[in-house]
Amino acid sequence: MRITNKVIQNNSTSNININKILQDKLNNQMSTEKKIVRPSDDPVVAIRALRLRTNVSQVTQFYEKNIPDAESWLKITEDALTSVSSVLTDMIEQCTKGASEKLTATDRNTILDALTQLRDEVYATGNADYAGRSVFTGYRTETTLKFTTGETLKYSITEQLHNDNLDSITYVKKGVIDTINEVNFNTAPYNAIVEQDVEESTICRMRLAYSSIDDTDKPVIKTYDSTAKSYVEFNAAADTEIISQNADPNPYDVIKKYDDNNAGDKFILVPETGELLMTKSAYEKLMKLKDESSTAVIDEGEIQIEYKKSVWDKDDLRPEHYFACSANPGTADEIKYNADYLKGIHEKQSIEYDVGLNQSIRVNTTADEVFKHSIGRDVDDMIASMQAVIDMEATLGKLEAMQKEYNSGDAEYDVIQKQLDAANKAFTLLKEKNQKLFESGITKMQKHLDDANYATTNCGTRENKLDLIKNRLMSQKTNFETLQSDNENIDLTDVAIQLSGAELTYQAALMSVGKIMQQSLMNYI
Amino acid sequence: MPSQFFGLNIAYTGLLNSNAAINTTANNIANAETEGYSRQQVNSQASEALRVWATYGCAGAGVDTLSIERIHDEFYDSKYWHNNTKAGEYAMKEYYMLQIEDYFKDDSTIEGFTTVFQKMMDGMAEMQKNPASDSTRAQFIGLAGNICEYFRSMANSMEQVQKDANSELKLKIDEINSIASELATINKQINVIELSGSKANELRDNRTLLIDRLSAIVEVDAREYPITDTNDPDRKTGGWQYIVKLSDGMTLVDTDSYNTLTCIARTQDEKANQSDIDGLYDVYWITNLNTGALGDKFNIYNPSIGGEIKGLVQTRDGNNGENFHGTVTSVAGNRVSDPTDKHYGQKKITVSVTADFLKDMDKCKLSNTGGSIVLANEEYYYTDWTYNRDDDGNVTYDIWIDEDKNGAVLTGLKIGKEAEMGKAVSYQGVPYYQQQLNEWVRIFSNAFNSILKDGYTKDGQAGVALFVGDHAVDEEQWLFDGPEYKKYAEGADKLFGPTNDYAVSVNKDDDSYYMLTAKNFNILSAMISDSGLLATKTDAASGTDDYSNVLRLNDMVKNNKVASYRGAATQEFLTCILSDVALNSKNARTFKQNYENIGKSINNQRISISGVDHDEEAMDLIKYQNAYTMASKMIQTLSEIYNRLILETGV
Repeated sequence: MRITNKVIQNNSTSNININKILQDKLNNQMSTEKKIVRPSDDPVVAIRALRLRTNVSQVTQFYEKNIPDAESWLKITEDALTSVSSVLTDMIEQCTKGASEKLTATDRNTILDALTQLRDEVYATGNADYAGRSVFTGYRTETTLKFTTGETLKYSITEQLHNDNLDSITYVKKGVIDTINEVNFNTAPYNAIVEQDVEESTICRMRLAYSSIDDTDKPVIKTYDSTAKSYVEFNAAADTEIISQNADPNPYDVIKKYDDNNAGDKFILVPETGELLMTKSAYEKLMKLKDESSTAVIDEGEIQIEYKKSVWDKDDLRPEHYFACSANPGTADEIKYNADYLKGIHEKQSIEYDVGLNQSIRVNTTADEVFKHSIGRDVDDMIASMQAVIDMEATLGKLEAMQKEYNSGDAEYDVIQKQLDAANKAFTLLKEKNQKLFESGITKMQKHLDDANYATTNCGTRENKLDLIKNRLMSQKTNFETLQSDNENIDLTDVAIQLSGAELTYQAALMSVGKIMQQSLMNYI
Repeated sequence: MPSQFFGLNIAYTGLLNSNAAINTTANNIANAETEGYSRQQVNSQASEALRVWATYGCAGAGVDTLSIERIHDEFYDSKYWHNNTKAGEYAMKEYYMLQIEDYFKDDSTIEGFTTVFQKMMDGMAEMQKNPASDSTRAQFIGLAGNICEYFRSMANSMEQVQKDANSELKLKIDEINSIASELATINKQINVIELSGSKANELRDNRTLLIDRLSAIVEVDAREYPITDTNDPDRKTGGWQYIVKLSDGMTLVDTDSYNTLTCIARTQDEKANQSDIDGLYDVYWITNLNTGALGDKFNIYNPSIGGEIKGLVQTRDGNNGENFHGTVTSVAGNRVSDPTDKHYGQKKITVSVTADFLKDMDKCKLSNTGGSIVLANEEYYYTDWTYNRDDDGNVTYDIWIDEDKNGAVLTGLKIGKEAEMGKAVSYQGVPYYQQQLNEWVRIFSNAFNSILKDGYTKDGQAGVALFVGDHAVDEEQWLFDGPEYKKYAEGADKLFGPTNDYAVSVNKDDDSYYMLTAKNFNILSAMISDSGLLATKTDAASGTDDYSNVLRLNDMVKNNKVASYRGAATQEFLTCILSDVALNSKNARTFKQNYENIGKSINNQRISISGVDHDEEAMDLIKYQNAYTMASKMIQTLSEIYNRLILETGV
């Protein structure tokens, strides 16, 4: 082939350019430390880089943001639970004191005050918040666990209870002893009081979650009917009554009378105390209910009680955190809470944080695990019982003082003596009842303490798990970053060697072109 | 016996010949670096010997200088041109693919889709932890807005690429015209010179250069035929007929006459794709240079058109071979006669389609402003269309034709015939990427919005759509409350997934997701000022920190069973599309390099024959200088001989 100067020129230019392209590429790699400048340099590397970058970014989000947030949430929860445990321990101490047989009037008053304060403290702990978000209230972080001020807001509440929520109480019938005074003692009916009037009996009841229930609507009791395949009313509406604690005769006497007369299934709501009294026959029927294991969703043992409550004390727990209920029922503003509960679906409002690829951890503890209504209601029972003892003791003192006004043998003296005998009997019975109640209170409070400790442990376990995940994420992050670097970054030594190779070739090309292009035959003519 | 002065004559021819050769060498050296120059050489031949009737026979009569001719092999020209066409095509593709690649780029220096999307997902993770907080929701909405911004800017970039390719197409067409006119002029000059018997070397070199340029723009077929005497077909007149044809067989240049092309911008109702920019050019032949009357369409979609034009057209109109095509199943007998009907005066036809990309409205790219439709090779114009799907998933389109626009009457004869809109251009050009962008925003928004609409805000209000489309003309937004061609619902396994096995009918003007394109992709304007509108929970009465709907959104993004873009989850958008872009770009670059290398080597072969070599010319210089010196010495010697003979012999 004929090689002309132009051919040499063209080839030289093209060769030098190839060298320059290589140098440019190596230079880019050196100065950016990246294998590729644009995706088309190596599509596989480019696409893998995208995936790895996403992975690193996700893991970083988990490691740097989600895990610390989950940690602080768990920490706050754990702190609150620890203080609940200590309050409950204090309560047990008070119960132990109250169960003692040798108590003076002052002791009783001290125990009463202490219990009242501790009761409020337990629920106040439940209002703990994390950056303004209430921690024990599930998704409803905007509402506190309990009312913080007294409020009037009508709720219709449906409690879902079981036969283990039924219990029986000891009722001391003391008649009108409490209201005797210097003026009326010798008038009817007080002058007829005899020791035999005071008697002790057992009454079956179901304790609702709240006291101060509305006395305007009768509670509706429903149980499961296997033929209708739904919950139907257990009794006729006429068999349910609402009788105030202060009525005469009082509801306990009424239910006792029903029992004595075998009056059938009767229920009486005592609105002030939130007790649903029932006759023994109703009690026995309800006790027979049990869940059939053959049906998964439907609970045949469930007893649904629907009632209304409008007046809320500042220490009442908000019902929406616990029950299927609705605020402002029957109005346009009605808000239905937890309607699914009545369908047998009890999904916990557990807040889970994503802390890894397809890995999440529950950060919250819901109120129903620790802050149960029964804590307050148990304490209420004890307070009421203790109060009754204190009151009766005061009545005794008053009667003794009154008796001193008269001489033995006076008609008045004898009347008062009879009254004193009755009061003494009542006092003994009430004391006995109170002592038993406090004894059982120890067990109940111990149970609540166990719940609180269990929740604390559970919280701690999750913290431990989070630590493990954190460590694993750390290594995952490093792993992804290493992969990313392997994929995208150059090996500097490698490129440096290539670059000096390219430089050498370039020099050689320049030298040879320079030599060849300078000369031609013309130089020698 | 020859004349005593014969020798002087012989020497004279030698002198002339050397003189010509020296001049040619001078010309060669002077043009050593001139582009396209072919070295020339003097053709000489020993003159016809003189019969001198002597015993020794004939006497040589010196040298005839025949011609100065360029040394050139036209075989390499046509090889070069053919290769140059390929090189031109891929150079164009490389140029535009690099731009597209840059737009899709996503690395540590440029924030592309994956980075922006991941930031949105991080925002969603924060929102999942604290859905009740206004600031986390507002942050998420802001980050979602960035995704919209990304798609809008991508749509604008794509339009810019399309616009650039379109303007360059016009430039290239103008260049063809200018080369055609130059060629005609040169042909004429060559004939003038060569009819007189000499060779138009420089003009021929120029002509080759012009075809070199033309071959980069478009595939050409240039041939030269000698003009023969009509009365005596064996006799060549010395003139030449030179014909340049383009790929469609049309003649661009015929010796001294030429044809021109012109670009006519499409009007809005001639758009081929929904996202095409206005004013894309169609190219026509001009039949009469004086009046500018238009002739046939120059088929720029002909796959063998080649060159930069092919690269430009494929970039501008490349739809991966996916254009609307189907079979006409019915043609209305009469025009719509109700003057209140929006289709008044138009004729409805029904076309049934089978291609998957035509059955799926997410992929729809039919023009929303009307366009042309070819029914059995005859072009009509449509104004409106409606997509119909029946229970079995069969899809037909009702299309309203305006017969007045091209004056053709549409009859039932078209039933059973092929219907086609736009051309199938089997390259992944701008329309392809636009369609991919549009498809993603439609799939993503539909799934995202459906989940939001199924949920509740933190205050228990019903959810609203987040991703919507801006109207082109006013401040309103498309909210997609028209017919739904794809519905999302909670499945038996609690998975929020798409269903489209139901009958639906969507008109092009309906407020459906068809209206959503990457260009108008935006977030609901009300959401910017009130982040409380974002539905974060699935139960109206649960608390403000219920994030159950956020979980569903999160799942949707990562789960290709819920929302699937090209079979992958929606977050994989860029990995899907980047492989297209990177591979196309890499291909264009590789092919361009290959053809350039081949071009270089063919050119070297041409140069090897036609190029000027310094050493050769230096040698020629000495050679012809010597010859000249010899010839002049000869004359001097003869002059001395005559002197001897005339003055000193026998005097």
